[in-house]
Amino acid sequence: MSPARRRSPLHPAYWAPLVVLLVVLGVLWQVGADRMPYLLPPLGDVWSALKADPGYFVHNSWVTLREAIAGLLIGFVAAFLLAILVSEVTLARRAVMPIAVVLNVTPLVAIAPALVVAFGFGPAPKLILTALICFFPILINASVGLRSVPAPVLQVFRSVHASRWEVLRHLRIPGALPYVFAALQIVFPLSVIGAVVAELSAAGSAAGLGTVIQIASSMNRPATVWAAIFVLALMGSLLLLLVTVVERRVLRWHGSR
Amino acid sequence: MTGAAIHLDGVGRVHEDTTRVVALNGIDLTVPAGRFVSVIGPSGCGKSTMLRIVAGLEEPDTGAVTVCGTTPRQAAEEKRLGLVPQQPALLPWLTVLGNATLPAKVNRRHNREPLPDMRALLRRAGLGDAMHQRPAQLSGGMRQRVAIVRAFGLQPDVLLLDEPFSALDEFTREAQQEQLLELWGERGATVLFVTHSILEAVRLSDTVIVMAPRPGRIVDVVDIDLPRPRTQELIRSPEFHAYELSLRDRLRDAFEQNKHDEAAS
Repeated sequence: MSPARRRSPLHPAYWAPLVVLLVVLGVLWQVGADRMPYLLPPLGDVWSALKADPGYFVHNSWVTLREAIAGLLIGFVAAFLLAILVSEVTLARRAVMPIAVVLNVTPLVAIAPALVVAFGFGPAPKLILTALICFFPILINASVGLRSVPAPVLQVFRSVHASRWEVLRHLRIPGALPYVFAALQIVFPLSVIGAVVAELSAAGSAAGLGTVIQIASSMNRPATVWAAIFVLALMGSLLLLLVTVVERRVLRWHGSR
Repeated sequence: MTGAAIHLDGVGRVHEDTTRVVALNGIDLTVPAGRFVSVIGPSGCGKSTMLRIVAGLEEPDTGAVTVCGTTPRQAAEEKRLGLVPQQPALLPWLTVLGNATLPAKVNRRHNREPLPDMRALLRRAGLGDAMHQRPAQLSGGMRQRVAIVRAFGLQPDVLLLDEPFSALDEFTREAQQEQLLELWGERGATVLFVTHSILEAVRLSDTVIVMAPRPGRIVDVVDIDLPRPRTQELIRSPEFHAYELSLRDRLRDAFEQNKHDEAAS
């Protein structure tokens, strides 16, 4: 390993490139905002919008975050259970997987308006859309992971007459965890997207950052729109950080982390 | 323990996958209880297939197999078999101790009480310091030792080993053989040991089965009348060498004959 890679995150060589790029982007942003006021609001205005009513953003972030996490949980449980079924029963695999693939290539954001029509402006369409968006990556990764147990290990288990459940519990599920965490890395940020898209489609929603964006843009307040976008970016990053930290703890044994 | 621990009667097996290879043809074999029997032969002679059939992992197409007076599947269900595959087949998320005790956690109904003290057994195998480490932190030899301890921990009547030391270097391999013999001497079991090393077969076994390929068949059964423990002096003795040489000749015969057959067909 080269010495540069061993430096601590506090060393300038580590953070300086990022800081420089951020400063450059910030300057470009300000120049752009100056020349074309309708394209971008000045960063100062965005900051003021945030500072003027932080409670407003906290409240709406909380609504969106709750929708995202709840939808993710629903999608996760459904996808993981289905992955177990699909990896254990060939017939189920043949029936389900083609549908799952079609579901995956369908642009799910396009069904958001239909969900709003069907389920109204409450939390239901947000949870459904988020769950659907999270569903496929978890299903695919988990079902691959559940079937990734090496043949010799299975033979040892068969030689002591382990039941299907015992194989699942001791081999398949723990062995699938690295695959599941890889899916979670994808799906946590996706869950925020799902919640926001559903909010954007349900114009009458009471709260949520998507609603904030919708209302603010209809009232021509770009600073608020961008403040909400920055909060969303922060939320997605924190969720990703959370998964990464949990993964490090759970998968200490796993070499490729 | 008396009588036959493993009995194969006219066992045949055809692998249908690609070329209809006759993996085994008319195998008759009787292994008395408590014996250490090695199976040796060139690759493709069906020795691993035979092991898998005895382990109940594969069904023979013809003939009958009994293990401990019952079918292999029944023997597996009663936890009378200990299997050590070619790769150690350890679970990377469990510690050495966790891996070694895992078989006792499945099919509990048939655990053979009292369960052995796995910590003591691991210490006995020189794995005392590694007990709480994960497989990735161990050397290849240590990993394979864990797999062997795991199998002995079942207190099996029949121990089945499929080239367990083939991936190890010469020195590690010798140490592993020694430890296997020590554990076997203390715990006892009927052993079926698949190998492609003549030295290993002579050193470990009471009986060596020589197999030849196409079709997979037994061409010779050689009893090794050497005292135990098989010390370093014994390994260097002329008697030991004589066994090695005669096995080498038999294996070459099997091989040559095979080449003739191929040329003829």
